[in-house]
Amino acid sequence: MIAVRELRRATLMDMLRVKEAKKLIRDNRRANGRGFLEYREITIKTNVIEKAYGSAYVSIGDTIAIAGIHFDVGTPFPDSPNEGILISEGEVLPTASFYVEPGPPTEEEIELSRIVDRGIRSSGMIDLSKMVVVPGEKVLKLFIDFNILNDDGNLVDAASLAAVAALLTTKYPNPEEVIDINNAQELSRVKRIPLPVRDVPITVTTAVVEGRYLVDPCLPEEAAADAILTITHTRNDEVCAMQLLTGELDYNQFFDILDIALEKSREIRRMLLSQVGWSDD
Amino acid sequence: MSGSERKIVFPGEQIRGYGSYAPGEGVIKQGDKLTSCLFGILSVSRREVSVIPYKEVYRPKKGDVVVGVVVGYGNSGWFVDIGSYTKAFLHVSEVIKGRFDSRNVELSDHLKIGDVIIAKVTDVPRIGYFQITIKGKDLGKVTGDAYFIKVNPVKLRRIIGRRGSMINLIKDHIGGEIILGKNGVIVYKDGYESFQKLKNIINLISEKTFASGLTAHVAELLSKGSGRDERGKRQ
Amino acid sequence: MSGESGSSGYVRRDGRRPDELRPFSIRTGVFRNADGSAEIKLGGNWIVVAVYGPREHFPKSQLSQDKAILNCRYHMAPYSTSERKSPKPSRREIELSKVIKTALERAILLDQYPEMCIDVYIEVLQAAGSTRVASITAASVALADAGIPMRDMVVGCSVGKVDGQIVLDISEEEDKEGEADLPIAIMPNLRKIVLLQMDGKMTHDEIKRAFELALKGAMQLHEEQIRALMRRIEEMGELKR
Repeated sequence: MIAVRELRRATLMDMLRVKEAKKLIRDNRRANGRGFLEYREITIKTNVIEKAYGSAYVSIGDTIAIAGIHFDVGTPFPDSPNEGILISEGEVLPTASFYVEPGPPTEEEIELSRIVDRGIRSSGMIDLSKMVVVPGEKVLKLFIDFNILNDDGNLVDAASLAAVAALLTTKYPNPEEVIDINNAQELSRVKRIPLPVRDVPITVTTAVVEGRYLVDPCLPEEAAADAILTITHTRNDEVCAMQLLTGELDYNQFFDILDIALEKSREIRRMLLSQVGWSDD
Repeated sequence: MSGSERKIVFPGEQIRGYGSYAPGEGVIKQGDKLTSCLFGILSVSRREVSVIPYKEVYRPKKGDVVVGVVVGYGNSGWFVDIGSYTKAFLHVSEVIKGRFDSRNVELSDHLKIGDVIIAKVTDVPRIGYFQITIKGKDLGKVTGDAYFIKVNPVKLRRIIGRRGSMINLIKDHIGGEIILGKNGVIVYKDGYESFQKLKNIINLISEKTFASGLTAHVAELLSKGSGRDERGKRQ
Repeated sequence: MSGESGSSGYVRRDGRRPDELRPFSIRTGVFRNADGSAEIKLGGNWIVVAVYGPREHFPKSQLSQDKAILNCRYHMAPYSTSERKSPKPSRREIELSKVIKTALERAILLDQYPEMCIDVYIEVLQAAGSTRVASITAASVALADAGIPMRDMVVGCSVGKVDGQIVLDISEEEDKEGEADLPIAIMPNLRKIVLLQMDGKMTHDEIKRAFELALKGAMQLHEEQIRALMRRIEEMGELKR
């Protein structure tokens, strides 16, 4: 993701796409006639991986993300005996672009994982107290794993949307029936009930390019950006995560982007909930 | 360098009052504003505003005389460390006098790793190593007994002093040969005791660069019977 | 400014008012070998930063021909926290290294040293909450000490929401028990944000108030950055007789 922004070993096509993006923006346009505050086409498919407890495939334009949810049993953290454990991790696969090589997680991948995690955790989407089997002794561990399969920019929104969509359609082992269960294999045979969910956090990434605000930047737009800010909102219009991914912002640009992100998050949430078959409860 | 009108500036600080001046070293022009990009002292000369950094990594300029150490052999010359952010390259043609057959040159016959040289900077490309030469007056390998002192290159101004006042004062009291490299390396050829005296004085100037009355203080220290070399006269 | 944040007479766990920073001090020139160095103490935080560079870098394949690369390592000592922390870099340390590097890159004039690298090493010797903003504040001083050209200094400060109140410079306890934590860093003369993160829950209005408070805290720390550098020049102007 970031390697392209540096354009150190950029391929010819990518360099040309960046030049083109900058020119388009100066002419008040975006590639493919997209509006500045418009997302690319979003596809969301859930329950795409049978073996997982929950899953989702999300594409935003050509960026593709898949999230899978798994459960295990474990002991709670000593300072939170009545809470289950939430672990999110993601990876950009080598399939995603010319610049990604197999290897230990890069700074950007770790940052991506932690931003997705913060959005879900801080929003309180998952009630960790509903993941307790024996207080102080045994709890459920919820693993959110996601992968980026193709990188055309805005990995944060794609990964977050995939994770949230997967969680909304996850069925999890009923904690009451896990008392005698000690490993993941046994756990997979326990009767499953819908995972209780308390919020639907939505992440919106906005780039500042040539002084203009662009939501959902594609790859060349990211490379051309002066700044990229990602903001996650809860259903109650509260912000639960923010990260300046790159660049510098004027103070008023920060406030402008807060407003834009709120507006778009409502739209995306409506779309997500209708896709997944929920009403906006 | 008197203390009174000294203006200390910081990175990001706007420099006011010199609107039409050109930005020199350490100063950038952002729009129509001049901004300091270093921590140091403002210096104004004719039409240019610059900042003398409080500390810096030596940036060579063409013509600088520097003191370096040979650290490696290349295909057609030697790699030399001159204490800058990258190395210098000394081509064989800048060392060997007269004609020579490049196929038959054994580099270590002329200069070995570890040799100290006094060289002149001939080229500072934007990318790649600096180019230097040891062909010229007072340039070449440092032979015989020599001591070395390394200071931050910014201090050289103070060590030299206005119109050479400080360095001449030092040379008058401490005999022996003193060579100042623009990269902050000082070569001293003479006795150990004299070297110690010189080192103490240089360290003092380095640490108390902005003290007023420094030259007088140094003069005092030198004449307190500690400045004469073993032979009692200067070279 | 309205007394919104500081008005209620709310007293924090450590006795501070909502708009009060913990005691702080910054020193520069703390390591002889490094090209530049600085130390910051903020509350119980004790953090040192060393800068090496510009200098050559290997492997050469990672170099850029048009500017220097910046390496930044944020690292916590095993004894810095109440429970021993493994010396191996954790995911949190890696993320913080990245956000601090991203912020410093905006300030440093990297194109003056193509094919070179600048290394910034941050060591948290004792941690007490808001380490990343304290680290970046010290790193900026270390860079200035090293004579590395910058468009502006960088200074950071944290704000948070604790017991429903917007507070400045959150402590470790407040970070754990509070409702939100918002670290920021700015370039004070250019008035630009270079580090911005948030964890927790805040309304837009709370974020705006918190941001204004953070700016005030950052300016106080910026004054200390300047004092720390000035002290070096003053030390160099005093002759002992």
